[in-house]
Amino acid sequence: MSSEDVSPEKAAYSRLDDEALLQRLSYRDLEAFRSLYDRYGDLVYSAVLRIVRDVHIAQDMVQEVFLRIWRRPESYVAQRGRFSTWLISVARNRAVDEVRARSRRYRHETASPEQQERELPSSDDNDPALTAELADQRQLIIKALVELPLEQRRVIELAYFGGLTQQEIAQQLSQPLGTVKTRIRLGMQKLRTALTPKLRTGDC
Amino acid sequence: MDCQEIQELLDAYALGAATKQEAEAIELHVVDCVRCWEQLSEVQRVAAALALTVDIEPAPAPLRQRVFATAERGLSRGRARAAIRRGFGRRWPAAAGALAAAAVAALVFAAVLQVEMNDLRDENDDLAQRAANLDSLVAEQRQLMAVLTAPDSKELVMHATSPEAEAVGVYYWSRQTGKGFLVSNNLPDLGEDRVYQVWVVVDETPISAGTFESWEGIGQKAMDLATIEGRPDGIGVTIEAAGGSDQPTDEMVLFAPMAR
Repeated sequence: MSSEDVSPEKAAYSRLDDEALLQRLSYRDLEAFRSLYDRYGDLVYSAVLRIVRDVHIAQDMVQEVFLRIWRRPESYVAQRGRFSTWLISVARNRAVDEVRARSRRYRHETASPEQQERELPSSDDNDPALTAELADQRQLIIKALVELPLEQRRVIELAYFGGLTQQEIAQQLSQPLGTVKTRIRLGMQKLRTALTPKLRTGDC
Repeated sequence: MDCQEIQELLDAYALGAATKQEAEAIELHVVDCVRCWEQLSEVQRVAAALALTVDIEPAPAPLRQRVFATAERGLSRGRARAAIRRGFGRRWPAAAGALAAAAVAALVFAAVLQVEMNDLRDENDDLAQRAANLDSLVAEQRQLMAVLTAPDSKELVMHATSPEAEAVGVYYWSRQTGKGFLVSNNLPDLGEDRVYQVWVVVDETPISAGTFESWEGIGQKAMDLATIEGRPDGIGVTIEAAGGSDQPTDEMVLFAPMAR
């Protein structure tokens, strides 16, 4: 019997949903904070790393994002959607800000790696680092992204991971702004269709 | 912009690819348009799902330790401050509801302070000082509650004078109680050398109503209206050297005119 170091208390926390954990953060409950980190730390780290492409900066950023939640749990407002969405957006925006600040400092490094087609992970990968719900979503979005026409996928990734505005994407790809806008809208429309029913029924 | 124009921008906004002007238009619009708000939440969920398409790799173990150790260190410091943040720490989405929200926050906050104070009194050493600080915070908070719950309570939203600043303030006052209270959100922390100073403008003359600091974006200042003679035309906040100034030495960072 290998019980590892999973105390009954820890196990109890892992059964709490995000909202319940967050509520405990406002009482400065460190164990609740640990549970949230263990739930989302790998995802936030991986997403941020993908954007900033530097393990040290990525780690600093993960620390900053999580400590911000610890210090100001109220900055997440439940009415604005679920916690995981909010957390990912905060981390993504922070990472993109960093990349933008860096590219202002070093003008020459701005060529976005998103230009090349990215190898997507297989949607069959069963990733133990994610909650079951996020793992489901992951499969769906990867599948949907693979099915997008390449030019739509590219503009969406340039925006989301590359941190470029529509105007900047148009410039980089030497495409009219209208074309970029249309591709983003069409692509997002398809992703929305692929994800939405699942997102709705995925609520437990 | 109408709903259709806004909805055409939502995808780009959720991806972080809208221009600043577009983003501002959207944020303004969704404050009171439920339909666009709902659509926005939906596209934001789709956008966030994109983060799931990366190769998920484990965050380094030393990072985990560092994060927890830092959190733990912060646990004992700033407990009182944390309480302030719990009371006022959220960004106010629309100033219209601020009074009700602040009233609830103040009630909750006063209760939290009381609990924290009792906790602290049970401990010892330098905690006496912290308990004293909390005492004054409780007193301040009582004053805010008195103002908020007075039958003649009024509020005035103070806006940042520079367009790019995100700061906002709300000034509450009640003539009946003779008290005023200013709370601010998103004023940058100034460090030890400078403070924020409140000015009540009477007949074009700014009269100091005291100084305050902004801590992690949150500031509050209780004011005694008895010290101000005449009918104010406006209320503002400047940045001054520590200790405050006799006269404002710089532009107001927050200001609101008061209707006659």
